[in-house]
Amino acid sequence: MRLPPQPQERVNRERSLAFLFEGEPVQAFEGDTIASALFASGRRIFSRSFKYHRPRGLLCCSGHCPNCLVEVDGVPTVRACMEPARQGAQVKAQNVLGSLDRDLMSVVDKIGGPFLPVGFYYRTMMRPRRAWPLYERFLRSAAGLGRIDKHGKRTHRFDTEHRRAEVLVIGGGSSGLAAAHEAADAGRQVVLVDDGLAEVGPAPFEVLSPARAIGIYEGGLVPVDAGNVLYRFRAERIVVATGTIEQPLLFPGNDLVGVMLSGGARRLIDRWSLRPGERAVVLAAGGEAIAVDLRRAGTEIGRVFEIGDQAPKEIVARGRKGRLSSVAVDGEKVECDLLVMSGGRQPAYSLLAQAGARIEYDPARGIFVPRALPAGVEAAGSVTGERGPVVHPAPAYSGKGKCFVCICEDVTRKDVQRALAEGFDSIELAKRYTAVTMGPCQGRLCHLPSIRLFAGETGRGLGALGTTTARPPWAPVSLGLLAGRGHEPARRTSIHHRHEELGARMMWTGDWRRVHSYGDPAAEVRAVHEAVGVIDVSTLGKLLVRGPDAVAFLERLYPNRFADLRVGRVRYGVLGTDAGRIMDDGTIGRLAEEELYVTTTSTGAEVVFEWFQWWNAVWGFDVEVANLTGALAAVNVAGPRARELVGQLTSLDCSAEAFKYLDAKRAQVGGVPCLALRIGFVGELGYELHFPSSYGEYLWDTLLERGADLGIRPFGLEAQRILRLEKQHIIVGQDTDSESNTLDANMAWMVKLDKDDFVGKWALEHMHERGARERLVGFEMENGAVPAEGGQIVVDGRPAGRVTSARHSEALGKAIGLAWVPPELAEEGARIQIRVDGRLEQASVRLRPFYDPEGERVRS
Amino acid sequence: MNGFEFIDPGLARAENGFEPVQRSPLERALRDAPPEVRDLSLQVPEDFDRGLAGLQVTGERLLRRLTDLDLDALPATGMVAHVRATVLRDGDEFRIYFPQEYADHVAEVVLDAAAGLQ
Amino acid sequence: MSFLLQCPRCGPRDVNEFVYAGEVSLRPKRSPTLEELTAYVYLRRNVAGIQREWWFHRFGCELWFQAERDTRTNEVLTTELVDSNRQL
Repeated sequence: MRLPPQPQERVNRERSLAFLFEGEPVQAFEGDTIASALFASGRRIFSRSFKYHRPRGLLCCSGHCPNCLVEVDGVPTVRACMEPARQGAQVKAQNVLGSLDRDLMSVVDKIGGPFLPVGFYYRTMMRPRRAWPLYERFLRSAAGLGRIDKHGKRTHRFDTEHRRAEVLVIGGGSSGLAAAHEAADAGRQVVLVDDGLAEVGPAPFEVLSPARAIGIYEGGLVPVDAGNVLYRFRAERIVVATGTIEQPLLFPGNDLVGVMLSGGARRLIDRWSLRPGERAVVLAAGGEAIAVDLRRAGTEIGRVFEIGDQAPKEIVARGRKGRLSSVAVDGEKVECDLLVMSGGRQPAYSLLAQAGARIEYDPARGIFVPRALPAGVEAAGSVTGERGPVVHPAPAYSGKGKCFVCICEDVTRKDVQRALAEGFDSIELAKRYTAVTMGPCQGRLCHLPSIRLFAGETGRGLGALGTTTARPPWAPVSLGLLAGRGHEPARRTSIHHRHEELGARMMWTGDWRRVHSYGDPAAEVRAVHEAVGVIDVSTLGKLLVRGPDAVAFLERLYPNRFADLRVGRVRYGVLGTDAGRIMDDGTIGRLAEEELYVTTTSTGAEVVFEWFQWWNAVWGFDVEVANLTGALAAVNVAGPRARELVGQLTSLDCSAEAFKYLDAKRAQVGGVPCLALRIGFVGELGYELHFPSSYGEYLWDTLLERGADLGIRPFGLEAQRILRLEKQHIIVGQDTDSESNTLDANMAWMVKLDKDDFVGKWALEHMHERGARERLVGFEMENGAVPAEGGQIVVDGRPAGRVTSARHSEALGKAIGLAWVPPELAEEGARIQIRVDGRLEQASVRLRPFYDPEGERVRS
Repeated sequence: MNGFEFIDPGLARAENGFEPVQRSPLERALRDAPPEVRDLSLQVPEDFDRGLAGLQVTGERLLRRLTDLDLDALPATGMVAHVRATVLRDGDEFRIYFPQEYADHVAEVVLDAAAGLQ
Repeated sequence: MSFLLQCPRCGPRDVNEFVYAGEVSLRPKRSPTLEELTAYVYLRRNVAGIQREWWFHRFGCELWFQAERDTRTNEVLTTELVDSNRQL
């Protein structure tokens, strides 16, 4: 019932609006919340409780309890007591089967009790096991509070913004405001954050409201939820002025509709000019002052019980259909429809605890208070625990009926006693077993009462029991806000758009976008074998190592010898760790006495660069390393007609005598300055051209244009994989894993154990002495079945190895691959069996490249 | 030492019928960009590492949606739009240089952030 | 993890701009026994207290440096460039 205008009211009676609740229109004023408008319209039941589906009404009116959670315009679990009423909003109840007033699920309250004690899910609904899918379906639909659209996409936009503050004040009450003004007067840059309960008017500092600080993290990081924007604040000084939270009393019937905290009742009167009830009983310390406010609103006062001095023993609230009808205190029964209670005010210390403060029990005041704040964090106002009335309510008042400790999770006093009896006697254990403090209020209304109850039941002191660990988020926060915009970094070569224009099927290699194929990998392979193909290999890592110690540096890092690498020559190298394991591979070209050009795998570039820089920090060689991975694009032009094509584009002598296999030369190709390397990963005559990335599209276009008559085809990774497999060239990370070493992987020829020292030398010496545990070999299938990666090698019915790569080769007319096998099987022609599609297929070991084993084509 | 010392794009020459053409990695992504976002890629300053794309962004608030760098302590190299970038400041104009292989990604993030401020 | 790490060149930055590379440990000076090699490669002191460790400023100046951090509180006491004469 709307009262005449109150002095502090927030409603603007000049402006009306209407929203829908369960499809029916509800009148409101501007300034109303959804809850106040519904209350004004006569609604008293606002939700149904989590487990028992008991009717619940307004309790705190300050965004702490779960009693007013509704769905607004499709957004679940909105606190109606904080959410402004908006024209046309569609508000619905949650967690009901039927309606708020007639919830069919409330049968659980009547008869489900014995089946749903604390921890019931560890004991009930387990047999017969066959029936579990049925139980699961039931539980899933019964559990939870709100509903989300499982097929919804990003329907809301959430942004993240980085902010700095010299002073960040959390809480816009009187103490927060005072602290903010003081800092601003002293010339500090101040930001004040308030959840909207206080009404912070214009101020000489920045105010964010409504906004909630989610937590306090290391480094003065305070994320602030401002609805659609997540502000990530870094603050030099954080002032926590979050105040105190009024606590409920524990007695049977304490969850009935009509039982309210004194702050809730007062807010209804002062802010929204509503009479909270017709006839009230007050149960509080300082109850007379509360009664004065209630009378002002026209509520009849039945009785005031001062729980401070007189300490009743028994309190029982009774109701009809979930709505309060009377209260009996020590046998004296009083009829009422409103029970205003207060169990004292507990400092809202959570943010301070997260920041590292110690939480101690103050027996004089009967509350937990923050102490020993870390540097940069201050507490102001009642959150310090140094102010406010002292109340020592009983842990629980006796009487018959359900006495709720946690109204969010429907945990009763009996549940807590049961948990204790079962041995969960520390509060951290009891919390996890009973779920107390784990609901929407996150302990604001139940943490202190539950510890008091625990102390009462166990006979231990509250100080000894302590509190549970406070963790962010302090207030519920939408996952969408934390997710932000969802961009994923992707790297693209400077030729990328040409691939898309050609209709290429793209794939991920690490965070690079690469071409899998242009639609017909077999045709791409054929072009490389018979004419000429071109592949974009710009993703290769490219490191330039320069300085007087360049060769010595690389000799220490790689097992290879480079001292004898002549200027203008390229060598294949494999990088290892001190554990002797393969880390990465690539080519090392000597471009000058003191200049070496190192390539790495596409996904290894960053790691190898960091690795090089780290060893240099340790050894202090006179050498510089530059990471040119993105600065240079690269293409591989390969095939018997590659010389013809490249020769057309450059004045460099590309004859076999002048430009030999493993030579490295600088040249202008198509007018673009390039480094050309004659290497042979794909097994045919080929030139790998490295050049400034901004010419990527141009050089690609030029090659395709000039090569058209020669039958050029662009080829992708799938074709490249087939080609290299025909040559038994390994791919690090595909054919090797984190345990593989160069000796067992058939690369002993490059390991120069006679070198003084190199990373991995000692481990490789041990491995050499010990002998191989497995060997990487090629194999060909007898009748063409292509095994999957990871396919098992079987010997005498036992698993004896695994396939790392396998493909069908059209050029060879058979299925080929690489696999790790026991050393005794690493013999040319050895017979092995491989599991393919559940069958055992025959295969033979091949130790030499399948295609052009002498390497004549690549060296032509 | 940078990529341009190693292979200088300035050495590209029109010769024998070839006319090399450079392309900015941001050209396509910023074709319809609002005025506060501009492509600077083909004008990267001399002393920078090469293979960088360059982007001019106007407005401090937009920058604060892209990076947590202290905007009063520029120039600096740090994380912008989840990639490594160097940021310079001239009043309310910010120039961001980053590896060119991230061009499409950074453009997408910047344009999206700008849209969020509309 | 959100503490601030002071890069010797760039100043205080969010820790996520860096790559962490573990505690500083001594590489054997000459050919180690199998036990010594195993300890060097696989074993770490893993102190609950002040640890000297390696960091790389991946999203900034790309410099390697060492820090002393209290692993219990993430308080970073010092960060410094390494004198490569100091043996690993």
